[in-house]
Amino acid sequence: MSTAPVSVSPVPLRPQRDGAARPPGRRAAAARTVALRAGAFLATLVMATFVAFWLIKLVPGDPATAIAGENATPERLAEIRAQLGLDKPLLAQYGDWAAGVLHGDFGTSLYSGQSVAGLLAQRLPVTLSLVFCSLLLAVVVGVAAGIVGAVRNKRPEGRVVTGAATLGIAIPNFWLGLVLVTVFAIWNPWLPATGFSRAGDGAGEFLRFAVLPTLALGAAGVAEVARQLRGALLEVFTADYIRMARAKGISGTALLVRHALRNAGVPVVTVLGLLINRLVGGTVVVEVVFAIPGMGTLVVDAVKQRDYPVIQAVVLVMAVIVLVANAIVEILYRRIDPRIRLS
Amino acid sequence: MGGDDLVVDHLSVVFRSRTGTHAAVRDASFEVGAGRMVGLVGESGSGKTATGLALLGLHDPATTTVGGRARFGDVDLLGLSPAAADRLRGSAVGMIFQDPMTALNPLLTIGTQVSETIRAHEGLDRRAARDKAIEVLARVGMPDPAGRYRRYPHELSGGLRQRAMIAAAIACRPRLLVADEPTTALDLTIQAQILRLLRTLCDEEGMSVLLITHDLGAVGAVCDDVVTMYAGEVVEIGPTTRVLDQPRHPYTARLMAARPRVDGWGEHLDVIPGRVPSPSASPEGCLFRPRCREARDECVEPQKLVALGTSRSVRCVRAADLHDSGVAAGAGIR
Repeated sequence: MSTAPVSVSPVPLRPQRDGAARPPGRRAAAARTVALRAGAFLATLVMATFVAFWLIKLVPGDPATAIAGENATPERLAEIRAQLGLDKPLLAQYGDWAAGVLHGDFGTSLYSGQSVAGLLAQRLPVTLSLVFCSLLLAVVVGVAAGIVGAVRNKRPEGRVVTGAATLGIAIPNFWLGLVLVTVFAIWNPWLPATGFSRAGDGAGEFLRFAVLPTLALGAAGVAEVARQLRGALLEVFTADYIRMARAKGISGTALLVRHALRNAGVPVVTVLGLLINRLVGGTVVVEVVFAIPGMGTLVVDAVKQRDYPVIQAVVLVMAVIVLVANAIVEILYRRIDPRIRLS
Repeated sequence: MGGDDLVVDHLSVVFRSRTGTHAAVRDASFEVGAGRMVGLVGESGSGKTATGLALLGLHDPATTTVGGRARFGDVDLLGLSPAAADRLRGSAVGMIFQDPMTALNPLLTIGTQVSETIRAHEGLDRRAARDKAIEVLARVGMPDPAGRYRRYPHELSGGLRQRAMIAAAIACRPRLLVADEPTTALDLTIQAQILRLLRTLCDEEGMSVLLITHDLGAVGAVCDDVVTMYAGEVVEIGPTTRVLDQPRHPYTARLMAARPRVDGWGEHLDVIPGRVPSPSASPEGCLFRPRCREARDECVEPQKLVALGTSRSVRCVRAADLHDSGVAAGAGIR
């Protein structure tokens, strides 16, 4: 989200002359933009983790009970709380946690006693690979389907794409996951119903486990990208610059790729940013459906157990993933459209 | 010389839609001689742009039917295969459009858009195409062509953008350029520059230009001949000086009179009442009849384009007597 007030250029107004040499302030402006973005990035992380911290404290139940059991004496519970620092004010608790994170210490799980950093190291690659595969699926298949839908608009192929895309957006990922498991793991035992390949198992094994969850997580993305690209292309096809390009004798692939796809890519890249956010969130549900040991299942268990350090760490990591992905999308956006580079 | 004449013969352009068909151009015949500049004038909706697009095959074949014949040199423009049309466009025949802001691709540099024409038709490598594109930019009067080569359309002023579009269209030295309202989006001084540029290209390179415009002033300034269209029909054809000085069709005369003039401060602007009839509600006989001051009973009959002397044709039954009584009282502008 480009909410940072960076659109006001600090470059002094110069006499309006076409294509004059780059203004000397351009570099300074870029540095300022980067600094502002970095500030916004950090502020978002602080907000996200603090809100998560505060929300989880609002939920009844606490880890002391979870650790000591239902029958523990109040004295014992108070002792545990003091040990864990849970008797301090909320801000102080958050401050302790944040200070730890800044030193690279994510704490230990209140429940298992494992180091949170170790848990993340196990779980993060699984979730990242799932998100990456789903994103790849959405881009490759979505772009291909979007092109077919636009180029063959009003013909059978185009109608199939449009219909499938509408359906794909409407189907919830957990339901699709259950159907996929039923069809491809239970009725036809071709693929594993649950679990995920371990590191070092090899590509074939990885794919065997990854296919169904990737489909479940990525299907909506495929549909969204296809629908968005088809719409954007159909609009671009009527643009004056397409007619001008045709008047120059440009046709076929050159017309589609250089003129149409590039322009239609601008709104699609915006959709990709939103899609990454949704995929990261979607892993929570899909990992539970497929019993995949990733960040999603980790955080679900942690919430059940009020395992604050784990919840906080997962929230932080997911927020970083989303923010980094959006930063990449924005860079992509500027690379595609020269008009954005200037503002 | 005569080999590169554009001869448009009984051209018709019909749009089909769910609500029915309507004829944007009916039975239009005119010529653009080699190396000449011809103004195609008329109000919005008169079929000028539809004519230009149809000549280059840029209409949407799904919704548009083009009939008649159009020959450029020995090429049958309307009978080309799609591949042959792609080869012709940008090499022998070019077209430029009204608004260079929307007709240039916003994501590509000026240079890319000029050199891609060259690369599409002349098979040059990137560097050779670049050098040639810079030469073309210089030819259309682009200041600092090598620097502007790397600029994006939004970084240029309207006039320079229009020069860039002209450069992209004429990079391969087409022998015919269709210019669809090329100055409408520009301010007045820039308009004059662009018109002069087109005229120069015409004079120095022998390129024919079909200038589609509603601006009779522009036509008077640069065109050799005028073709007036009304409601999809050609109503008057002739050499610019004679048509503008003594319009024989009442519509041309009224167009002349409707021009705002510098010496006419405070005077009533003589607008033409009514509007171009929609094709579904065409009047019988002469299409201009409901708006024409000179209409008589005989105008209810369908009108033919009739030759008037050697170089003029008029689609008006009263052309001869109107000349004597002076329809063109308000004319004589130039």
